[in-house]
This record gives sequence, structure tokens and C-alpha cells, in this order.
Amino acid sequence: MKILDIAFKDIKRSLRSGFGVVMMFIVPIMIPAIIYAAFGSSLSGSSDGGSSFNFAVTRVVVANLDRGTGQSAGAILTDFLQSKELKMLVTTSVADDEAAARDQVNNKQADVAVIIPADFSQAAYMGNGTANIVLYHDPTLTLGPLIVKQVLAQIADGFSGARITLNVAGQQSGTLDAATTQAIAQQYAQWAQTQGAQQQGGQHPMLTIQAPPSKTINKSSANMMSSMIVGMLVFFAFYTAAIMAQSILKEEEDGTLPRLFTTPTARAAILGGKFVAIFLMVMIQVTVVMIIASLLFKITWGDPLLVALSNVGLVICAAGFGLFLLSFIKNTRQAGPMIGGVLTVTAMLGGLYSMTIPNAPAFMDTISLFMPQGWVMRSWKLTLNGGQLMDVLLPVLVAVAIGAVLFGIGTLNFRRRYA
Amino acid sequence: MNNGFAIEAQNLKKSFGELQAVKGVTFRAEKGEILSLLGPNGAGKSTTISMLSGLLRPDDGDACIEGHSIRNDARNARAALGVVPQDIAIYPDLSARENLVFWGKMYGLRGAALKQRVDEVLAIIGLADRQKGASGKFSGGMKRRLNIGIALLHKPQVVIMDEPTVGIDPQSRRNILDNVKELNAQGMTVLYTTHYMEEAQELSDHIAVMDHGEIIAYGTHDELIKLVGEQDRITVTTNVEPDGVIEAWRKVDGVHKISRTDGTVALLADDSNVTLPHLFEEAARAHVRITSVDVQEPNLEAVFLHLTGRALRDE
Repeated sequence: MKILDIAFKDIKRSLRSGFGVVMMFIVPIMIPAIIYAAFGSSLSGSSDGGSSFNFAVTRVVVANLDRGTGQSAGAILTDFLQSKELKMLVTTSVADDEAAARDQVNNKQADVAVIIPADFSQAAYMGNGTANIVLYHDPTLTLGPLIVKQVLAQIADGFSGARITLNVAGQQSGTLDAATTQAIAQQYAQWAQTQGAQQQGGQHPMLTIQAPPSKTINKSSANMMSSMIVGMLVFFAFYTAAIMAQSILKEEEDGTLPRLFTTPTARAAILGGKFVAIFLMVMIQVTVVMIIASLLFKITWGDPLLVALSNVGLVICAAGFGLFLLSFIKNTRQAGPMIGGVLTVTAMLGGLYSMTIPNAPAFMDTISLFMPQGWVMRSWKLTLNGGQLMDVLLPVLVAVAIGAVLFGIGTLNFRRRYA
Repeated sequence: MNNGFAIEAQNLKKSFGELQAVKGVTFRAEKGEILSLLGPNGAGKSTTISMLSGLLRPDDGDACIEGHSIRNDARNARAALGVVPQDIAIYPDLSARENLVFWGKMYGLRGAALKQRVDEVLAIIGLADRQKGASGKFSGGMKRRLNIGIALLHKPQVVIMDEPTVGIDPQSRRNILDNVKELNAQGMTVLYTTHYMEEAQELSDHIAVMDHGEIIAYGTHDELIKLVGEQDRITVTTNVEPDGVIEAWRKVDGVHKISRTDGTVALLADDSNVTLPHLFEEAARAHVRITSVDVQEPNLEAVFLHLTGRALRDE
């Protein structure tokens, strides 16, 4: 009972410290939020699955001068640019003429103007002459115009492929007239449009991508924002544990720890209360930060069981490490620089900051095996990426084991100090 | 050991490396009395009470608090004891009530008994109307009172107070001394350490004078005064460093001890009326001007000077 009294007192004191609250609950959210704000929405997670980037949508204005009879190639192209499948990449509006489209780019109302020439259908369906689609765009933009160019090239290829095939077939059979050829080319182009749209959506009719069952990326797979949040969560959980452990030194200096030793409370219970406070505080912090992050950034953490397991690993490892570190420090003056320095270095080596880097050097991964944070991050990485129970269990168990060993050493050190 | 005493210390010893802080201290405090440990800083008072209160383990010897050995029955010894540390040991971010509730739990109080006792202690230390304010914002005197209140929560039979009046204003000091008397009147045994001889003189039934880790004198105030006989304590201040005249004063008839501190010289003399003219003559001969003279009847300061050759506040 006294153990809990001491633990609750420590937690109450921590929560009354404005600085402590900011460092525990605000900063772990604020840092990723700042990065998020700096890089726009490109780092946000996708609700429909996949570890995709959401590029800034390119605003396209189309001036379709190809207004022939029937469904012109220009109309097919315009429809394709306006299709819902491309909405993640481009938003397309239609201008009355070429000048109006160019004006919109000049006035920055659009990023790219697509000018479809009047003879585009003739060239696309019949192969009569050449017809150039003009892309008019802000020269400072690169990615948006490139995307539009690729989309247009895909459709143009569709027309060309169909026309060449039909010409060859016609020459060999001698039965295809011009009207039939045009109709077939139109149908082929529409089919190509459908296929293109599906491929933009990540599907390919002839290709299925599979991963080993345990490595399958599911609908709630990791994205950069959740990775950053987890990195910060792990870093500040370790920080909080160290700060809570520092309260032992602080109480010693303030005279309240020696005073506690004069009460009929066993020293083991006093130190036990301090240790329980570390566990509880880190647990509270992790829970609160995850809830806030979920609400603010719509992060899906993954399978609740795996999340709980990863959290157990995190809390035990962080608490053990904090106690271990502080047990070697003599006073609070030493503690500040030591906590900051050791935690920053071990966090970097443990891969907390490189988790979001797709092609981080392999040796960093190897080094992280020697850091407590590295194992915690491994469990989290697998949890976020939809790993299976058996995959997550190993790093969690290693993290728990490391935490337990460090906790034991720290406890022995403190018991020896206050024997 | 005889368990009829509230505190009984037997040959307590404690060393820190090469330094022998307490060299075999033995003393007893009867139930219901105030015993003062008087001595300069570094005399070993705090180390002695740290051993009694369970903070330090003695290298040798033992002590009993209300019959409970600090070695073999430490938890019960601590339960019988309330400790008021020299430095204020409270949680500044908790209110006075929260502090008392927490410390009460550490002494094993719970529920209604805890609440009632917290209310009583708040009334005793005069903080009932400030019980909800953060104690870190209290004045020094209020913090001192809370510091004392914590030690009273479990109604201990013995209270140890380690220099509780250091660094506070006269009004708070008066308040604390009155509290000590009141607690004693209620039957509590008080072990009071101080280097202020006035406090020891005012409060104590018995006084143990400590120096360099040893008790060099023990007795009632009157018994200790008798050690210096009828000697007066003369304190002389000079306009320059009195190096040239001290040896001359030492040779004056009736002067027994001389101690020098920061331009002030303390002497023990048989009769100040006879001695003072000679002191002035020798000073004039050495071209030293006496700027003030203070003559006191025999007191604890004189006792300490008599026993150690040093003034109580030399260190």
C-alpha cells in the first residue's frame, strides 16, 4: 500500500510540473506535427491502405479544340483527365479556348494547361499527319507537369497502338474501311483508358504482388507520420523514465528521501514506490500520446494485441533503462547533461530518427541491435507494418529482457547506495 | 540496556573514511524530558541523531528508542520516533494538507484517523487556514512549522529536532520554541540539537555538550555552570587585530582561558572588576584600542570555553 502511496505522490508531482507535462505529452506530438506542417500533407497516412505519398494535386485546365463528330479523341482525353481515378493526382477544368487556358496558368489559377489541337482525332484515329498536344505550365513546377505528361503519353500510346494494329490487320485482310478503323480505335482507346485508370489505382490486370504471409502490408500499414510519432513516443518514453528516476536523486538532495527513511517504511518499499511510479508514468504517457496522435493525425496503430505487446516492451525497457542510467549518476547537476546526451545518442543509434528514412544504411540497422531503443523500434515497426504475433513477439521479449536486466542492475545500485 | 529511558545511547561510533565523526557517544534521555545536544557545527550532533533515527547505521554501539533497538528492532524504533530534520524536507509542489496526508500514510495512518490527525496537526502548527496552498510558496517560518508538523503526525513518544531554528526570523523562532515546550508538556520526550546556547538553556532539562564527536559534559544547566565556578565571561572587541596584546592578556592574574574569533576575544576571568583594568592597561601598552567590552555571568558559552578553550561559535 505504501508503495502505491509513494508512486501516486510521485505521479501527482510530475503532473503538476508544467515543464514535465509539456515534455511528456506535448513535445512528442509537437515535433512530428511541426515536420508535418513543414512538409504539407505529403507525409500523411492514407486511409485506403498502402504506404503512399499524397502529392500536392496538380491543377490542370484543358482547352479541347478537337470538336469533331462522334466521340473525338480530344473528348476521350478530357474525360480521362477528369476521371475520379486521377483525382489524387490532378484536378481538371475545361477552358473555352487556348487563350483562356493559358491565361489561367499565367494567373496561377492552374498549374498546367493542356491544349488539344483541332486535328487530334484525325491524327489519333486515322494516322493522318501529326497533331501535337501542347502543355503550357509554370516553369517552376516540375512534378505536376511531369505527371500530366505521363498520363497524356499513356493515352496517346493507346491510340497509336490501336491504329498501327488495325492498319496492319487492314492491309493484310483488305476488308477494313476508314469508319470501322475509327470505331475500333475509339473502343481500344477507351479500354486503354480504363486499364490506365486501374493502374493508377495500383492494380494491374496481369500482375499480382504478394509478400510472405507474415510480412504482408495490410490496410493500416505504416506511413511516415505514424513512424515519426512512434520514434518520438519511444524517445520521450525513455526520457520520462529517466526523469522519473531522477526524482530519487532530487528527493535525496531535497531531504525528503532521508526523511522517508526515518519513517517506519521499509527502504525496499520506498524504492519500490519510486520504481512503480516510473512504470505507471511511462504507461500513462504512452497511452495519452497515442490517443492524442490518433485523434489529431488519424493514425491507425495496428492490431490492438500487438500494440499492447509493443507498449509492454516499451514501458519495461524504458523504465529499466531510466533506472539503470540514473543509478550511476551522483546528483541532479550531473543528471541533466547525462540524460540528454545518453538518450540522444542511444536513440540515434537505436534507429529512432532513421525509421522514416526508406533506404537507411544497413550498418545502422546492425548497430540498433545493441541499443534498447532498437528492439523497441523493431517491435513497433512490425506492428505498424501489419506484422504477425510471432514476428512482434521476439523484439518485445528482447526489449523486456533488456529492461529487466537494466532494472535489476539499477535496483542493486540504488539499494547499495541507500543501504 | 535499561528500557526505562526514552532514549538510551551506548557507545555509538561512526566514521566517514578517515574522519571519526562520532567517537563512542553514550547518553540517556528520561521519558518526558528535553535533552539538548549542544555543540558547534561539526561536533557530531547530526551524525548522532542520524544514527538514532535510522538514517545511518552505527559502526559500533547501539541505542534504544522507547526500548526498541535501532539495530535489531529498527522499524519499531522509527515508529516511536518523530524526526524534524535540519533542512526543510517537504514537497513544495504539494499543499500543506497533501504533505501531511502523505507523511501520515508513511507513518501508517489511514482513513478517518489520518484525516482527524491531519486536522489536529494543522491546528497545532497554525496552518489550518493555509492548508490548501502550495507549501513551496510559504514563508520560511511556515515551512519550518510544516516541517515540524510532519514529525508529530503519529503522536510519537520521542521527537528528535535537529537545529530547527536555523535561518529563521525571531518570531518564527519564538513560535517553534513555544511549540517544543508545549509538546514536552504533553509528555513527549524531545532530543533537541542546537548550537545556540540560549535555546539549550531555555528548553533543556539536561544538556549534553558535544565537541569533536564526543560528549565532553553532561548535566543540568546548573550542574554545567558549576564546572566553570564563578568565572565571568568577558568579550572584548578591538580596533585592530589584537595579536600583539593577547599574550599579555593571557599573563594577567585571574585570566584562565582566551579564545579569539574575528577581531573579538573571549576570556574567562575570576572577577571581571579586577581583571578589566589590567586588560585596558596592556592594550594601551600595545597601542591597541578596546572598542567594546561585554561581561556575562557564567553561562553555557563559558562552559564550552572552559572545556575546550574555544568559543561555541568558533567553527
